[in-house]
Formats: sequence, C-alpha cells, structure tokens
Amino acid sequence: MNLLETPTQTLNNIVLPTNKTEHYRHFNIKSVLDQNLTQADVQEIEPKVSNSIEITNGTLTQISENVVVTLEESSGGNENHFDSLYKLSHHLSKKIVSIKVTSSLEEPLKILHKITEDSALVVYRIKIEVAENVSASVFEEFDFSNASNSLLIYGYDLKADAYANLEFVRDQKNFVNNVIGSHQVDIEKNGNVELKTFDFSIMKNIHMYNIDLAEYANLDSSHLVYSKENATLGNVLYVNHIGKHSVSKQTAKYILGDSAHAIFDGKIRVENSAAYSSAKQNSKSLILGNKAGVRMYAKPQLEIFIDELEASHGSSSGQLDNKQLFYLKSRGINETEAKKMLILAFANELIYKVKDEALQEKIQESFNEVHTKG
Amino acid sequence: MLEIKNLKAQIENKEILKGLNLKLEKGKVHAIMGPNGAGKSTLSKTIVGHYEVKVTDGEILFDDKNVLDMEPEERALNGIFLSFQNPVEVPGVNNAYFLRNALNAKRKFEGKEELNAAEFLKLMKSHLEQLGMKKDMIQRSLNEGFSGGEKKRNEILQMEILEPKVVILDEIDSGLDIDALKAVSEGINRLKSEDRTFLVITHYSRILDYIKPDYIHVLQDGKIVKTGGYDLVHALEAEGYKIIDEE
Repeated sequence: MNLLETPTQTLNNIVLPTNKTEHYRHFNIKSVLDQNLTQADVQEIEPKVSNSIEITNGTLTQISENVVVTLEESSGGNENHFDSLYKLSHHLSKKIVSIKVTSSLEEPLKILHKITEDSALVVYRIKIEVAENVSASVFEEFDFSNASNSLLIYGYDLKADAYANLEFVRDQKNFVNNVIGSHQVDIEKNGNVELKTFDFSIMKNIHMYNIDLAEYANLDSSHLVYSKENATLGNVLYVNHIGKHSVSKQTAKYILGDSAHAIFDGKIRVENSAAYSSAKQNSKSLILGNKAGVRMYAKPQLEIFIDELEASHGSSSGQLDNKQLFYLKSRGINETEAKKMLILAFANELIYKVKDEALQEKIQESFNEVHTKG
Repeated sequence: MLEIKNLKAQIENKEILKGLNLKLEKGKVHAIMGPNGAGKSTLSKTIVGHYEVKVTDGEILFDDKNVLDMEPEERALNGIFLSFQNPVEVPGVNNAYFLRNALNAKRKFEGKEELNAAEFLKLMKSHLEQLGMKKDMIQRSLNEGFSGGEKKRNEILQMEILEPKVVILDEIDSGLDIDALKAVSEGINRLKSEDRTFLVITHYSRILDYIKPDYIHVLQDGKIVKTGGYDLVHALEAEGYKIIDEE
C-alpha cells in the first residue's frame, strides 16, 4: 500500500499532509509516506494476560491485569485535531485499544510496541482514560529489532479526569523504522498530566500533540531528543488553554550530532475563557557536531486572547560551555570524558524527572547506548 | 619546584604578562599581591592552560618538564591545581561523581587502582566533616546554587582529595565569612608539606595571617617587582603599592 496513491474517496475528507503542511514542513513527510508498504493485518485475538501491554504489528497480544483493556470502535477522536494523520489513523484503525485506569497504580503500566514485519504499514490507536482522583504512570517503549523499513502511524487519546494524575513516559530508541505519533490529550478540571518523552532514534520520528486544558488543569511536558546521523526527530505541541487557572509548562532539550535534523514546534493558545492561566515554554538545543550539517527548527508561538495571564517562551541554541569544559579538564578529566559528562548533565535534567528509579535507569541506558554508538 | 621564566601572555590580544620571572620553591607558601589589573589571575590561568590565554614567550618548568607543552588535563594529572576565583556552576554533574572521576583519572595516571563508589564516598565524607561541609554536598550538582563560601570550600575539598603538588589559590578568601575563612585556612594548612608548593593570590592580609606565607611577591604591570618576607604585607597594607613605585 502506498498512502499517497490511496484513492481519496476511501479517506473521505482527510487530506494527507505534504511537505508544505505547516507542522510537517521540516520533516519531509513525503519521503516517509511515499513508500510501497504492506498494511499489517490487525487481528482480534485472545491476548495473553500479564503485567504489561503488548501490541505486535497492530494486534493486541498481551494485556495487563491491573487495568481494564478492551477493543472498541473508534469514534473518530477529536474532530478539531490539527493533524490529518490523527484522523487517518482513527479512520484506518479497525478497533482501538481502550485502557481504563480505574484505581491508582503502584507500578508503572508498561506498553510495548512491536513490529516484526519488514516494509509494513502499521496503524493503530490507543485510548487511555485515568479516572477521577486516580494516579497512574504509563511507560511506553518500542521493539523494532526484527523489522526494517516499516512505518508505524499510531497515537494516543489520553484523558485525565478531574483530579486525576497521569505520568506518561516514552523511551524511543529506533534504528530501522519510522514512526509518526499523533496524540490528543484532554486534561479535565484539576487534572494533572506529565508527559516525559525521550527520543534517541536515528530514523524519522515525529510526534504531534493536541492538548486541551480545562479549568485548573496542569500540564508539564518535557522532551529530550538526541538526533544524529541524518535522523529527523520532532515534537509538535499545540497546547490549548480553555479553562481558567490552567497551567502548562513545556521544556524541550535537543542534542544534535553531525547531520542531525530536529524540530520543536510549540504553539500555546490561551482562549478568552482561560483567565489567570500560566503558560511557559522553553527549548534548548546543544549542537555537538559540525554546525554546517545540523538543522534545528525551533518555533515557539503564542496566541493569546486575554490579558489576565502569565505567558513566556524562549529558545536557545549553542555548543558545550567552554568554562565548564575547562573546569573539568583542570581537574585531570580528559576532553572526551569531560564532554560526555556535560552532555549527560544536559540530558539528566529531564531524565531525573521520571519518578520511577528503575525507569530512570532504563532511559539512562538507552541514552548511553545512543551517545556512545558510532 | 615550579619555575617561570620570562613569561609573556596575552588575553584578547592585550599583553598582560610582560616577562614574568618567578621561582616557586617546593614545600613553601608563596603569596602574590598586586593592584587590580596587574596580571595575578592571568598568571594563574596561564599556569593551568586556560583557553583565553595566549602565551607569546617564555616557559614554565615543573619537574623538568615544560608545562606549556601540556594540555590542561595533563597539567592537572602532573599535579598542578588551581582553586578558581569564581568556580563555574555545572548543573547536572553530580559533585561526588565528578570528583571520583577526577581522582580516579589521577590514580590511573599514577598506576594506582581506582576507587569504587563506596570507597570514594567514605573518603569524601571524612573530608566533608573536616571542612564543616554538609553531607548533601555529595548529591548536589557541581557548584550549582552554592553560596560563595560553599564554592570555595568545595575547591578546598577537591584540593584535599586530589593532593596536588602545586596549589594555586586565586583569591580563595574573597566572599568568605570568618568561619568559612578559618575552615578554608585549616584545609590549606593540613595540606602543607615538604612536597607541596602553594601560590596564594590575594588582596588582603586576613588569610595570610592564617596560612603564614614564606614569601610575598608583588606583581605589578605584568611582572614581579618585589619579593620579601611576611613584613612586606604590613608595609603594603599601611602605605599601598606606591611604596614599590617609590623604591
């Protein structure tokens, strides 16, 4: 199947993104979509019951006994989502994996995405709803080691009900396949969502988020990206403050090796119904390699429709700090080790935000693997 | 002994050291005083190989080696240590992790076995106690959020653990209260030995009252213009640097 050759009547009014589509402009989406792929045959089978969730080639193969997991018809999701691939993935998903967290989880809920077929187009969606007053942590990771040249188009519809707390952690280390994630996040009144994503791939990955905040809702999103060797990695977040006193904080840190391409497109929109909101956004990029080959597209944006609020955004880009590097060397640490320490320090600010220590270590290992590779 | 011969050095194309000669005797405490802009900090930066300094002439000999041929980390491994006037903050680099790496780099250079985390922590805790530092210094990021006094104590902590042969203290006393000054001075005095040389750069006699230097050198306009004993300090404090000009 070549998505670009699919008859338009099949896709109804969905218009596929092109290289001119605003939020894909620097991603070269055409090269990702314009491939002959075989759509994975998603089946409904009796999944194994264990303590984590596994989705293999789009088929739900394992569920966790700690949450309620079902397959349900897609309702189409949020019709106002800005990304057409969000709508496409809803359209192409026969059923969506629905996860309801009805009581607080003591351990993180693990979700493993597996692809085992080469040149496959794998499309599916997951819905996670955290009930009122419930706290949960979700950790997702990817195993694509047995497949190459495949494309995963997937996404979450996340909902934190009133007074719910959701920590969502992604550890993405992907060397042979492309991933497009398109997500909707709804944070209800006094709900709290912490998004912590770590992307250390050398392929083309991009994640789109449309996030709606109700009254007193809180979003803390942090994104660490390590891009090198012609990888294109990106995060596009459209954060919409709809309710009063809603709070959002976005932190993006990008480490860019030779020939890396990276995107941070963060739009904050504060409606006139969202008085006394607070919205902060900061992106920092650290350029390691030859500056000539590196492309970092940082696009902070504010759309404000009210005067009573606090909002700020900032973006900076630079290389390792010479003063810090010298200080370490003056204590006998050689230049290579000193640089490694500083790069790890840059990354650690976000890695240390992950609450579970075992998960922190896992992400550290993923980071070290990519940092020392090649 | 560290010997500096006819050292000329520039920062941002401006000549600061203009043919400086100085011999630092092993086992002795040397103090350098001088007016602002004389070149005191430039001298310390030149000895440790700071990237801002361009050496245009002269040499620095230490243990028969020309230090100017060495990278900064080599100079450190060979035993040259600078306590910075304004130690830089390094967020995200754990203080203990950094110091263990530094110590193990030195131990490896000397052909000794490296210390594991537990052994190092034990060593670090004993020094923290002696310096009156809190144990949370182990977990904190290197110099991040440290008060002025804490930064200086952390420099002395590094000095005590790394046991260098030549210790350059660049205004170690600036910003210190009485207790911090006492703790820092005690740390310095603990490390005095026949095998160790100190070069203390300061504007004031306060710290010199604690550490009792063997020699006082006056650095003026990029050169050492006078060397004397401890009584020179009191003469400078009473009359100012004009007494050098008048000689």
